[in-house]
Amino acid sequence: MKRLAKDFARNRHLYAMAVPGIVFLVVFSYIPLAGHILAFKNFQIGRGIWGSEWAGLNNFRFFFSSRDWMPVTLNTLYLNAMFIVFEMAFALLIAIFLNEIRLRWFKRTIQSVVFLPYFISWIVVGYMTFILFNNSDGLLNHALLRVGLRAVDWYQTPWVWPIILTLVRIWKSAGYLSIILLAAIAGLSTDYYESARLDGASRLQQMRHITLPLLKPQIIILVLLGVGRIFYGDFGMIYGIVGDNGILFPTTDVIDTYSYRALRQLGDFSMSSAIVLYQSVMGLIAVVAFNGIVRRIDPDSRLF
Amino acid sequence: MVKFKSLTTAAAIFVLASLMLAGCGGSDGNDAGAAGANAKGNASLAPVTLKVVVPGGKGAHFDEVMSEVNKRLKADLNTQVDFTFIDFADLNQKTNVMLASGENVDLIFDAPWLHLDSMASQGFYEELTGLLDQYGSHVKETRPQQMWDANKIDGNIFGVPLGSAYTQPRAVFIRKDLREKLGLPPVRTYEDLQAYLYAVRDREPGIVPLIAGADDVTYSWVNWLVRDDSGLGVRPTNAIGASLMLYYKGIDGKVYNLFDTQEPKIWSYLENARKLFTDKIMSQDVMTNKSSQSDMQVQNKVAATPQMAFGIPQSFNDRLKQVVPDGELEAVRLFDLTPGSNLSNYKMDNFICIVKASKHKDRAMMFLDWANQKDHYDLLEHGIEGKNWKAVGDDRYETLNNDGGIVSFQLMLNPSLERNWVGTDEETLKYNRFIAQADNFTKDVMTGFTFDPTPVKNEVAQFSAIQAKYYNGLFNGALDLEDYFAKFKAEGEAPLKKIQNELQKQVDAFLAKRS
Repeated sequence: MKRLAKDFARNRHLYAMAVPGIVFLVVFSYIPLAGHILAFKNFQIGRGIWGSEWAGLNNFRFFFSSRDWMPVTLNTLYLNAMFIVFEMAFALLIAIFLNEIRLRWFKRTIQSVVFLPYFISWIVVGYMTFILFNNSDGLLNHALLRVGLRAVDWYQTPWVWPIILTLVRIWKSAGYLSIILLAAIAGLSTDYYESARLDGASRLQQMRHITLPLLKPQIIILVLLGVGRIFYGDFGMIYGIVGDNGILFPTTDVIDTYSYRALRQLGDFSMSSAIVLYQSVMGLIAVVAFNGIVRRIDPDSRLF
Repeated sequence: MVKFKSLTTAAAIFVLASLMLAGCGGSDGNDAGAAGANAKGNASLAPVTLKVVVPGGKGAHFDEVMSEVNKRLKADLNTQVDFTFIDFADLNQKTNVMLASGENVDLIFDAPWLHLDSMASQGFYEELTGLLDQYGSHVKETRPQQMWDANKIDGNIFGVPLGSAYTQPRAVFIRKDLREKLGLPPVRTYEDLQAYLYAVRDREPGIVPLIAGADDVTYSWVNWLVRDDSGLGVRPTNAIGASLMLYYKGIDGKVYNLFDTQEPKIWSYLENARKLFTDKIMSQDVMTNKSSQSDMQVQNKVAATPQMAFGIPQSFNDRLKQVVPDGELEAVRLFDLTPGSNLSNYKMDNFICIVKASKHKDRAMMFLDWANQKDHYDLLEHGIEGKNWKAVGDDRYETLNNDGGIVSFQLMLNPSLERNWVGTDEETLKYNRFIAQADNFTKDVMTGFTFDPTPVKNEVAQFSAIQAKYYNGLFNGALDLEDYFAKFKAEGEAPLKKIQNELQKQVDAFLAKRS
C-alpha cells in the first residue's frame, strides 16, 4: 500500500495523463455494460429504460427460434477464424520480409503501399469488388473471356465468397497488422542476431529461430484480441460487399447482417440488444477458452 | 526503461483518445436559444435553431436558397433551420439510430415504407392535433379532410401527410431515340414494351435493356407490374413493407398469403420476370448493382427503368444528352385512367414528424405552417423567384436555372400549392391531374387502418430476414422460380402465417368497429 502511494507520488504526471483514458474506458466500456439490461426489457424510448416493462427472454426468441441462428453463428465464426488466421499469417510474412529489406526507401515505399488499403472505406471496397466481379462488364469476366474461358456468375456463386472475402480482408488489414509486428521486431535486441551470425546462422535460420519465437507474445495478443470479437461479424464489410444479394447469404450471412435485416423495419432496440448480449457472452467465452489453451501451451504468453 | 517507454506511449494514446472524444462532444450543436437573448425580428419569440432531418441531397443552389430561407425565417419567426440530408440508402439505419439515441432533432421525415408505424407506436413522435390547431392553420387548409382522416395512426396524427396525389405517379422510362431507330411504334401496352426490350437486346448490343430495383421492394419488377394492373386490385398490406407476400385483393377485407394462394396473375408476372432475366432482358446485375436506376439510364447503360413520375423530368433528358447528344427519354404509362378503376386509401407515402424529444415542438409546427404558405412553399420547392424559376399563372412554373429547390416531398408537399412545370406535356398533365382528384378513385375499405406489429414482432423479424434472401431475387427474376419459391415457402411459411392471422384479426376488429 505504502509502495503504491509512493509510486503514485513519484509518477503523478504519468498517472494524471492516464486519467482521461481511464475515464474514457469507464464511460464507454464499463457503464454501457449496464445497457445489456435492455435485452430483457420491452424498451420504448418514450418510457425510458426503467419505465419499460420486463420482457424475460422474449427478445431472444426471434433469433433462437429461427432456423437461421445456427448457420449465421457458424458463418460468423468460420469467416472470422479465416480472417484471423490468414491476416496474421500474411502480416507475419510481410513484417519479416520488410525487416529483411535493407534499401530504406524501398522498404518505406512498400510499407506505405501495404498499409494504404487499411484507410479505404468498406463502401468503396464494395464498389471495387463489384467492378471486378459483376456480370455485365466485370473486369474478371472480361479477362476470362479474353483468354478463352467461360464467364462466371460470381454474384450467383455462394461458395467462392468466403475466399473472396478473406482475400479482400488480407489485402485490407494485413498491412496494418504487419506494421504492429514490424515495430515489435524493431524492438528485438540485436545481440541475438549478432551471436547467431557469429555461429554461422543463415538469414532464414535467424528468422525461424530468433524472430518468430520472440514475436510469439505479440502474435498471441493480436490473435486474442481478434478472438474476443470472433462472434461479431464485420457488418461494414459484409454489407458493403454482399449487400442485399440473398443468393450469397448461405455462405456470407453473419449474425450482424442477419439481425440488421430482421430488425431494420421493426427498429426494436431490445431485440438488437439481445443479439449484442449473445455476441458478447460468446466472445467472452471464446477469449477465456483461448487464453486457457495458451496457458496450457505457453504459460508466459497468456493474457490473464 | 522499456516499461517506461510503453507506459508513456499508453498514456499518450489515452490523452489522444480523450482529446478526440472532447472534440466529438463539442461538436454536438447545443441549442442556441438562450432565454432573454436580444431577439431580432419577431420580438415575442426566442431565437431557435431547428434541426430538420430529411432524405435526399443538397442541390446546386442549396447554400444560396438556404440563406434566403433563413433570412425570411429570422424575420418572421426568429428561427433558423438546419437541414441534415441523408442518402436514401442509409435512411433507415441512420434515422433509426438518430431517434433511438435521442439525438437533438426537431423535425424528421418518416414514411410507412420506412418505419413510421413502428416509430410512432414506440412513442418517438409527438401527436400533432393540438399543435395543428394552435399553430398549423396553413398546414391544415392545404390538405383536404380525406387526407387527414385517412392518415391517422390509431386515431392519432403522428405526422403531417405529404403528397399531392392519391396514388404515386409512375411510368417506365424508355429511350425514344432508340425506339424510333428500331422502327417501333409508340409503346402503349406491356406487350409493346416487351417488344421494345427484346428489340433493344437483339439489335443494340452494349446497352442493357431493363433494370428494376432490387434494393427497394416497390421497384421490383413484379411489384411494379402488379400496381398498374387495376383489374387485379392487389396491393401490399404493409405489414412487412411493400412486400406482396401478404396482400389485400379487391375490397373484401381479407388478408391473402401468397404462399397459400400463389395468385395466378402474380404468378404469371413472376414467371414473366424470370423469363426476362434468363432472356438477358433484365440486367444480370439487378441484385448487386450499385448505381441508381436513373443514373444508369442517363448514362446510356440501360434502356428502360421504372420511375415514380408520369413524365420525363427535364434534368433526365439534359443529363442523357451529355452522353448521347440525340438521346431522348419518353414515359410509358401503364396506369389505368378509367375513373373508379383504381383504389386509393388516401394514404400518403411520406410524412414529416415532430420528434417527441424535441425541445421546440411549438416552433417546429410554426415552421411547418410557414413552409405551407404559398410564397415560402415556392421558395423551398423551386428556389428564388426570378433567379431560379418564374411563376406561370397560378399553378405552373418555368425553370430559369436548374434545381433551385431545397426540399419538397420531404417537408411540405401538398395538393393545393404544388405547381406543374410549364414544359409538362398535355398527356402527362392529364395523368397528373387525374391522380390529384380524390373522386377518380374508389375508396379502399382499409382506409385509415394501420397494423400494430407488436404482438407478432418475433415473426416479423424472422420473416423479414428470410424474405430478404428470396423476395427481390424472385420478384426481379434473378432466382429460379420453382426452386427458390419452394425454399422460400419452406422457411417462411410458419412465421408468415402467424403474421397473417394477427393482421386478419386486427383488420376484422377495424372493420367491425367502423361499420
